[in-house]
Amino acid sequence: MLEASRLLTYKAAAMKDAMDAGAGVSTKDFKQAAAIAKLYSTESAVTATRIATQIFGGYGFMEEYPVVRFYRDAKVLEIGEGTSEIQRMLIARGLGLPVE
Amino acid sequence: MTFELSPEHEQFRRSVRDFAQAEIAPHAAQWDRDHHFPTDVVQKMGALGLMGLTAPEEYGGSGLAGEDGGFTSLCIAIEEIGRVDQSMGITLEAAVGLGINPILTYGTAAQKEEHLPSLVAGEQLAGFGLTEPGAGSDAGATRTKADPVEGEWVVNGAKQFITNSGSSITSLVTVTAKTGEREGGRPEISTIIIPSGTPGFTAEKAYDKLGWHASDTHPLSFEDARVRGQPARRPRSRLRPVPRHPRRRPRRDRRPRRRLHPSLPGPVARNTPWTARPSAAPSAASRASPSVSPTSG
Repeated sequence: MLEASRLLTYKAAAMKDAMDAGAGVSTKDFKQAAAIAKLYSTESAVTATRIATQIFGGYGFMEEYPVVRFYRDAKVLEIGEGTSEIQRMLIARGLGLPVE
Repeated sequence: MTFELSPEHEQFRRSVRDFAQAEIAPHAAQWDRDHHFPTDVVQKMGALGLMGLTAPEEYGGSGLAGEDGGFTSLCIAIEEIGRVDQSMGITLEAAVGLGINPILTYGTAAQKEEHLPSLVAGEQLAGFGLTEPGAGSDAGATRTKADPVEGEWVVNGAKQFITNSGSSITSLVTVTAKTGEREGGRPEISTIIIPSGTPGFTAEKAYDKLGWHASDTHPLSFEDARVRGQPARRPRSRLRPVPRHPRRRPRRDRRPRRRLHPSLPGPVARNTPWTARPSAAPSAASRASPSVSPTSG
């Protein structure tokens, strides 16, 4: 998940830099790549931290271990700057699928 | 085909990681417990150049735009800072993406000269206020308004969940406001820079959040906040540049987002599935903000 998240994110970043350099990347293609990266990476962060707290068992529920903070901090990633639902809508629209 | 960052980018990653390990990692847990926003460390990130990675040199930035990979560098910096503290990661992301970027991309020359150097240096922060109790996804539903009065804009309204908007080093917020009607009765939404300390502009008490405790997030209120200067001198047709920013545009199509809300019970710890469903169902069905009250504590 981490490797895939990195690849998607840095692909989108490279597309943004190429776009700014006038290297033939379209805004539409960059936005699609960014939406895919945002959706996958943030949901992966929540999944990874959820599994991590589970591995800790009861201690995964206790604030004395950092894993609790990682789990708490991850959740908002699926909400802020365009929720997962919005990203899915944008991706579907970018694929030419009927939305709404 | 290769899927690797350049040697320069990898070297940059090591520099940021060293900084994060030395300056942030040892304190992150305590900042989280204390809900402490470490302005000194934010300014150290600025001194390292992290806020200026995508800004041109004339404003003190790196000048690494485009083929030199400035945006990729920013992503690396956010990953490395976020690796040890998500709060400082979002602080950096918002400082650049929401504070600097709208002014850099769409500001007037005077606005850039006045505001960008201190923001790019990370000495000060700026917030961006779009989301409201009843709007955010749907910028057209913005209720905050700005009326032209004697060469000033008089701003009234409220914003929600605004990052970097109320710290001791916040110098301004850029907010969306309704400034009139366009053809066909659609609202004209403009963006207006409101300096911190403007009478009538209040960054309310910081939110009590599930996470990101060391990130600076406030509701904002505007009661006859008067702003003289740049926006009022610009032709009205040029008053809505920021909502056209690529990162902002999708919101035009959205319903208001269900965000963490102070009146909702804590989503994880206090919210068992049995209490969550009756809380979430009306929230999902309604376009208004959640009206449920806390179930405990």
